[in-house]
Amino acid sequence: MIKKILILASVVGCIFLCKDPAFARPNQGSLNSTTIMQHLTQEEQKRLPLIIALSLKDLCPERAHFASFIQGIKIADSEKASNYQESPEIQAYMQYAMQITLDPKITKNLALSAEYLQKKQGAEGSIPLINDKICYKILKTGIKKGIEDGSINNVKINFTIKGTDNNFLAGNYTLSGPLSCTLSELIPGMAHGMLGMYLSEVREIYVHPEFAYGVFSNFGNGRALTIQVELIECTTTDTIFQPCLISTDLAKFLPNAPKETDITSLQKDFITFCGKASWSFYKQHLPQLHLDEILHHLQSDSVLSPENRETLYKLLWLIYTQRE
Amino acid sequence: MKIIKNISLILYRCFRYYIFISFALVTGCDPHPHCNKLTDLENQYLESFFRHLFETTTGGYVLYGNKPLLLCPFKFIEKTIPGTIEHKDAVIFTQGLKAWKKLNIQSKNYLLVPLTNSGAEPFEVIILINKKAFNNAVQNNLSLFRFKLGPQVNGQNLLDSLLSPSGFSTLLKGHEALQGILFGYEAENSLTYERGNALRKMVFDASKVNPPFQYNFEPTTPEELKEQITSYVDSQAGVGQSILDELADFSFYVPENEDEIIPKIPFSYHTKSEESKKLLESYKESEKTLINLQAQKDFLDQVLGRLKQ
Repeated sequence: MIKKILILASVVGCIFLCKDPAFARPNQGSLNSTTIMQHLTQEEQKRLPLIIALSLKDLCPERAHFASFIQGIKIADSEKASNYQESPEIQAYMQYAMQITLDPKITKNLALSAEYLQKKQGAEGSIPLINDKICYKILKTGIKKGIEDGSINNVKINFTIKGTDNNFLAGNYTLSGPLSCTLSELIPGMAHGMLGMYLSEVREIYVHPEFAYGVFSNFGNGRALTIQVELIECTTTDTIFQPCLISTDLAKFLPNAPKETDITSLQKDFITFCGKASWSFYKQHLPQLHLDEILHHLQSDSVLSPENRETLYKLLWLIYTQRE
Repeated sequence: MKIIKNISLILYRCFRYYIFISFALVTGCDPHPHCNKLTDLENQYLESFFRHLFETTTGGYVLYGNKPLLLCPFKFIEKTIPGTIEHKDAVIFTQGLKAWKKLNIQSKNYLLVPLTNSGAEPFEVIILINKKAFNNAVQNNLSLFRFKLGPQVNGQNLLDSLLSPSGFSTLLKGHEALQGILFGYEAENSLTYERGNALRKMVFDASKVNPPFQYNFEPTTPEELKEQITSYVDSQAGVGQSILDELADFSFYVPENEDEIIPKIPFSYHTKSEESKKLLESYKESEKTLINLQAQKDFLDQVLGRLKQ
């Protein structure tokens, strides 16, 4: 009997108890009323500039790009803008870079292609057009001027395409005689490599997959191509033409990219953007940070310790949940 | 007067605590077992984790509905730009997952774990499974699963295989229909998706690589896509026509009125199919439950209670 009364009393008590603020779980609502810094210890607050600087360094691990990154930080500091939006070009680059990172096979293809093209570019008689991307060698000299730079050219050609391991991939010699087309229809790397060709000239053009079917293509395993081409006939029109040298893979994400868009400059823009966006984010939430102090720490060789990383994550979590 | 009021308040509280302690002693219950394992801050990490998961993914339909499985990838914090949505995801999921691991809750009906990362990927994946719904999805389509994956497959061994390192990326690779079934889109829709995608691939494989001509880019608008597929089918003397017919009523859900509760599960479905209508209704119900749950003060307790079942 006593036990039953006690249980009943306990149940009633618990109902009261649930209403007691002393037992209420601190939630995100209560966090909103406080500042971020109050949730950090004195020691953590003191280490904050170092932690932020090292986290920025994490974001740009390659020293070769560090100058662009710092430039972005300085721009953001001088512009005092609170929010930077990625341009469509940078978004396209981010998607492209992400896809490359996701597939180890692609990374391997890129390395193999780079190695192959460096070897070809370094060979005797090689003429580079885009460093480590497109180069060619004249196998047989021509007799008369053929393709003129800057004009639409209707051409008649014989060609073969081989992969990095010299395997035959495509060609017209045994099929249907010379192929008639315009230069603008061809793989961009091939069209670029054919500019200035003489009639009857035979060239071997080495093309990075970026300027052929892309690193994600099954054609030639997405690696560099060797294109041998012989110019049979050529007629020139008045229309201006320059091969569009935007990376095939990038063009998938950015169909209307300007012709001058290239991966190297986009990569630089992206890194500058990273610097701008990161600094404006931190500066917006932690206005007490000083650029000079951050730049000083950025020059150091230190890396984030597990303890500092934990503080950084806590700080970031506070920033995001406080904003909600 | 004020002093008397304060004293009576203290006495009142003491009485309540006394009642509470006696209740705990009598029943031997622990009111918030997870409280003991986590700090206040960790509890907040966990609460924001589940709130964010339910707001930004379909994870809530796994826990409060019949969706068998959720895969939620998020990038490493260091690999994302501060201030972006993916950075916020990374921070909230990383902190929440750490607190969740600390709780070490073993559930009979649900599974919430980070998928083993080989180290090569710049992201982590959270996997949330409703074991009962998962088993039902496999059991109801066992012939299809066995046809694609082998005669020994059943719900349990498939789950074990999927949870092994690189299980997801290898086992279900290319089996879009099976993926669709496990992600909760039902067999009919998933099979149509796979067939439609096979036709789309045929169209592009036929057109995009034609050496030495340059790459033909995939169409960017649905209209361009439809036009290209239709002209391909016409050029192939009607091969693929049956799939085109099948795709005729296959589209995304369009809400009928503005204030309608829309489940955040974007997938193409057969608009006239009864199976799809039921599926959509069940997701709408789950969404209502989740909206109600998000407004509760004891949100975290309720979610953890569910996950302990």
